[in-house]
Amino acid sequence: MRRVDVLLEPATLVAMLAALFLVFVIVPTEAEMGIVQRIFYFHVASAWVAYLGFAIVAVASAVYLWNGSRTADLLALGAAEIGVLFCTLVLVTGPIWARPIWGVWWTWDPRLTMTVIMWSIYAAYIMLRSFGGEDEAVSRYAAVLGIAGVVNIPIIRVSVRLLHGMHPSVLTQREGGGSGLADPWMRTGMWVSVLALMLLAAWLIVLRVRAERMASEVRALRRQLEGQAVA
Amino acid sequence: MENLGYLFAAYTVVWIGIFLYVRRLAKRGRELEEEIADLRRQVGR
Repeated sequence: MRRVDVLLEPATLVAMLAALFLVFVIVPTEAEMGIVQRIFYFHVASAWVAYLGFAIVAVASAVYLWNGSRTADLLALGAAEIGVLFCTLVLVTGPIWARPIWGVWWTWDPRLTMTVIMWSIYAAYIMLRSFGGEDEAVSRYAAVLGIAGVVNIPIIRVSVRLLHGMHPSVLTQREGGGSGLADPWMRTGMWVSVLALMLLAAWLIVLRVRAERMASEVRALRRQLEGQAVA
Repeated sequence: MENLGYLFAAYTVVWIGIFLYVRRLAKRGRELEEEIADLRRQVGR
């Protein structure tokens, strides 16, 4: 077993169980929203993991464009897939909270709209990589898209404040609103949830990069065998 | 509030299921790596 697996497997399990215990047993129920507020611990943590995934795509893509590193290219692809997975979880868990609190499943709030745009950009990145094949030009175009897409993250972060959106600021107390995590256990639950999902995402990215490397090796072996058969 | 226990149980089952599935993927990946290395040795002969 590789060292990264030895570290990630138990760390992910412990963090996941700790997050579940904190969120469902220790953390107090929020006074205004009730039980449904507990989805924040997974919704916000998923959003942070998605941001981190897309930030990794941008950095790895920049490295790939700079020195042509195959590892950076594979890391960008793996991080994009995991980022889109967690961004999808954000877009699913958000409406589950919004329906009882806002009375609607969806509204075109700036933060929600920008999140959908970000999801679409990285879904397009994955489609480009999937349908474009092994061509190096495809990797370069995708790298540019991966870097351009990350511009969305700061826009999403400031959209609540600057564009006067209705999406709550979960970790900070808003003026005149009570959406922040007031209790220290709420903040602990949030950070442990973020850690648990980040470890899970890191593990998934490692596996995805490894699988892509194996696919490359199999293609190389096939070419070698075809060459031997012709000779 | 009485449904919180069910929610906790459901989340726990789903999260442990995800963990076991990813663990299985990791194990299968390691086995495949060994098979590929073995094939590479055979082809290289």
